[in-house]
Amino acid sequence: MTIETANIVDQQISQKEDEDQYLTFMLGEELYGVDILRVQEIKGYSKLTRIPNTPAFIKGVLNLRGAIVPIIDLRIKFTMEQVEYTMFTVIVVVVVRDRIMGMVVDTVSDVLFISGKDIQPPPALGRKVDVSFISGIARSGENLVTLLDIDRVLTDEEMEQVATAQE
Amino acid sequence: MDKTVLVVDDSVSMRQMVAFTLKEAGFEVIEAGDGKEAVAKLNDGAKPNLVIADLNMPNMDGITLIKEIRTMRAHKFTPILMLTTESAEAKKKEGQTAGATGWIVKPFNPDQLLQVINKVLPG
Amino acid sequence: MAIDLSRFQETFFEESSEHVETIETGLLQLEHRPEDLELLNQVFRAAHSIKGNSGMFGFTAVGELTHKMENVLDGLRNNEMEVTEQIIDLLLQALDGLKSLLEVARGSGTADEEAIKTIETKLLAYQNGTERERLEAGGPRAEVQDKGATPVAERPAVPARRLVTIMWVPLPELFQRGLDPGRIFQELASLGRIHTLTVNADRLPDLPAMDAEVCYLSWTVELETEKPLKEIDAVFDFVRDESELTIAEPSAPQPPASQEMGEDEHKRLGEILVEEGEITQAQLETSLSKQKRIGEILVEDHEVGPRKITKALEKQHRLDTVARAQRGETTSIRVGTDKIDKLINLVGELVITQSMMANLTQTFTMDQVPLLQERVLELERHSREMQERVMSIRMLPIRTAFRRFPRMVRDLAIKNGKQIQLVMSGEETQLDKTVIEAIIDPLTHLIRNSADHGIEPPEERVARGKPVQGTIKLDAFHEGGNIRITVEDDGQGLNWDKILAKAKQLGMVAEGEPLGKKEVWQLIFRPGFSTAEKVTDLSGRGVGMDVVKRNIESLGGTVGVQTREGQGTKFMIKLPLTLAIIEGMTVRIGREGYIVPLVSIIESVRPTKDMMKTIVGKGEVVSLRNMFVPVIRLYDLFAIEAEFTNPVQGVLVLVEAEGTKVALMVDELVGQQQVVIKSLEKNFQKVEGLAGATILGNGEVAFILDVPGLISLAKNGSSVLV
Repeated sequence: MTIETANIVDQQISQKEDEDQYLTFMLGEELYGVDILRVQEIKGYSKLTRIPNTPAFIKGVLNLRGAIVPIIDLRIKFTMEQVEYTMFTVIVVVVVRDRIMGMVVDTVSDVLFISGKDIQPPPALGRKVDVSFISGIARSGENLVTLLDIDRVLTDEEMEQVATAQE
Repeated sequence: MDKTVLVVDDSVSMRQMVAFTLKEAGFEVIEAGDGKEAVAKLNDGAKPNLVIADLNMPNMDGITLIKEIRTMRAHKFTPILMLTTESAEAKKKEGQTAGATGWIVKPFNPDQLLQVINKVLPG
Repeated sequence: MAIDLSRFQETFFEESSEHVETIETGLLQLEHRPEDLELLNQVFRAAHSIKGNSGMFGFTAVGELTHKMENVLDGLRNNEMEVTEQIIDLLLQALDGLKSLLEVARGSGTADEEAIKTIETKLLAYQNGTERERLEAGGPRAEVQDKGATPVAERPAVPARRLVTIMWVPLPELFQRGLDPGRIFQELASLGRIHTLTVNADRLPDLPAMDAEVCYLSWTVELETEKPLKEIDAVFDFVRDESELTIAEPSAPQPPASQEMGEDEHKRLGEILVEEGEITQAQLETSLSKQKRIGEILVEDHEVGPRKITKALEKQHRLDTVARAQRGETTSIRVGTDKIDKLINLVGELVITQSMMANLTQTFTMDQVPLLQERVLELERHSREMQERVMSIRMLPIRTAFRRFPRMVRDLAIKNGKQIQLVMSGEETQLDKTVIEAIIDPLTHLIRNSADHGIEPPEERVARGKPVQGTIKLDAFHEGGNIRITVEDDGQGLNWDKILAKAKQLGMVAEGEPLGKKEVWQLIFRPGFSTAEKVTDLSGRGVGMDVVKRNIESLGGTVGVQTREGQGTKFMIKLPLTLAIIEGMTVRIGREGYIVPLVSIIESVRPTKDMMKTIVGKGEVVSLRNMFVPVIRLYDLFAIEAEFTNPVQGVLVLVEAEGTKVALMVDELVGQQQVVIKSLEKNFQKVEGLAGATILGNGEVAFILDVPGLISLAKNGSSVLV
């Protein structure tokens, strides 16, 4: 093992074992969380350019310091009721398999430490509800946090489906 | 004040390496891609404390460059080190006759380079 | 000082491949101009540089091979041997070996070491042949390596402190050689303590006869040191040859002091124990196998949980991967320092303007608006100039693509028993590095085709009354905002009947289908089409003209062909200068802006009602000068709310791609501008009908239309009939 890794291990010992940080945000009344290491930045909503012939949950693209970044509306993606974007609407920019993408969410709420032992596997909700992109459910005080597997939410397969749907 | 070295070599990798070594050791470095460029820089007023020149270069080779430098009033006594390969013994003689101060035989490592420089550069 | 040389390796490889090209081109030309000494010198210099530099980086195999090549080249240079086809052949083979060795040094590829050994032996044989001749002729001997030192009384080195006497009569030209006696005394002093320093001025002439630049003095130094004589002698390395120098040990040396301990190299504990017989190798290995990795130990000691370790390991892996990717993917461009200097100046100006603006905004009052406008204008001028200069860095002469072809044509000619000359022009034409790299394959294919199939065998050419030697011409030139490259041969030309027969056989053309000349020639670009009667290992690899066409089109270019049976074939390639920036026309549809590449636009029209026609009720066409062009309503295709749904109110932009013309219906033409192409695929994916995106002046994103994609999209995917 290299010295470098040993350092990483050292640093992580200082944090409590088995605890990860999650950025949580609201969609309607529900609280969601994503691994904070995957979040690149949080920015206010600004005008997007719509991409023709793409599903509704892909809201368009944004100029993020010269890079063209696609933006996904999680409400549409989760077939929730759509709302008007307001001045509180934010875009959470995440890194998904070397790609940069943005998710439109209602508001960002907090950064939570969640211990691995407090995370339960996603409940089986029957066929009606797709839980494949949920990595687990955790309790934070009074609240229930749905932890998203960001790679699954915005997978390549999803994008390929987009491509096939077009044809 | 930092000492300035004029490094003349058509090979960019050599020049980079030599320049890098010298800069690390605290020298100012001027680079030139061949004898002509070196002469031009000297005529433009460059005042190196030392010249390091490859012998084998296009446009103007090292021997000619050394002779040129020795005709310049300002650089009559400037130390000149030539870069040679071990197989070019005759060239080495030729260089010395032309006015070269010393030589460095390729391949050399940075330490050897600095040692040789230390030999000819007044402290 | 420990300096890592590996960071300069990339430059070395780049440089070496340039030298390799120089040698290759040089050798090929030398075959025709054996008396050209300057050419030979160039080749020699290139080989010499590779040799010298490879040693610096420790690539000994490269150095050894080039050294042997250099010796043969030197022999040629000194007229000790003659330039013959055999020697050129051997040198070219050696060069191929050298290329593979360089690849290996770079960490990729393999080298046939056996073959290289054989080549080296042959090179040596040539060299030795000349040496033998030299000896027989009683001529000058090959240089004898002279590493000898001054005749110093050779005694075993005595590492004891004693008084060494040095007498030095330097050469008179000491100063003119840039040598400084003071420096030598300093160096001596660094070896010990100078006991006495005596100046001898015997040689000093009378004042009038004295030349201030001549060294008349000589010195005797008594040095108290424990260093061996060798080291003292080394101080005089640069002055020894023309100086008188004696270095003498004291007559009665003092007894040697305690022996210096030889330092043991760093050894692992286990190794030492094994060496000293304390344990056996087997015992050591058993014990070592019990060793655990740090991660496991930490987990066992409950210092850290297994999940954290896994995460850390993942991170380590990720870091490694990233590092590897960074190493592997570095491509670099060598840029002239003048270009860099200009850029730096420009950045300087930019910074000044920026700070002036910053100042201005701090204390801004409305009456300063003209000043602000002026500054903004200045900023604009600087950034435009900067853009142009940065782009020009990516521009390289097409020579870098062309230079591999002379060798290839030579080899193909020999292989096919043909005589072929390659005439190149326009090698200095500049275009984007990416385009140059991407154009190599298609060009290689076209030239191979010409050499293999175009140019006839000598007897056939004679029978046709053509010169025995066939010619392939390769030309590049600028035309408008494009670059054109032509590959032309004076061979047999394309055979109309054969192509047509083959196309029918392949079912590409129906029996009795009328075809124009242009259409028949275009058939050769269809996938699966190849008329080569015999498949050669070079051009019959199943990569056909369709790939050539596709490659060129993927660069935003076009390829066409002209041919005359019995007289030759000419391929014409048209390419954009750069892939990064295009000239575009911004069009508006509803509230959205799109960019149409200017190269594909033929014209734009506002149609009158009677120009618009429909075919079988739904296919919409516009009649333009007796030509019916299908109309694509972009708002329909992209499901956008447009301002106009009636073509008479909107604008039709007539575009062409791959020989098909269509009219794109938009609301309005906004204007023409240069746009920087940004990839949509990097963070998203390919979207049909879009070539990419760009960022407009207001920071918003606009899409660039992919005209061929739109045409096929309209054909397949929408209600619009094309």
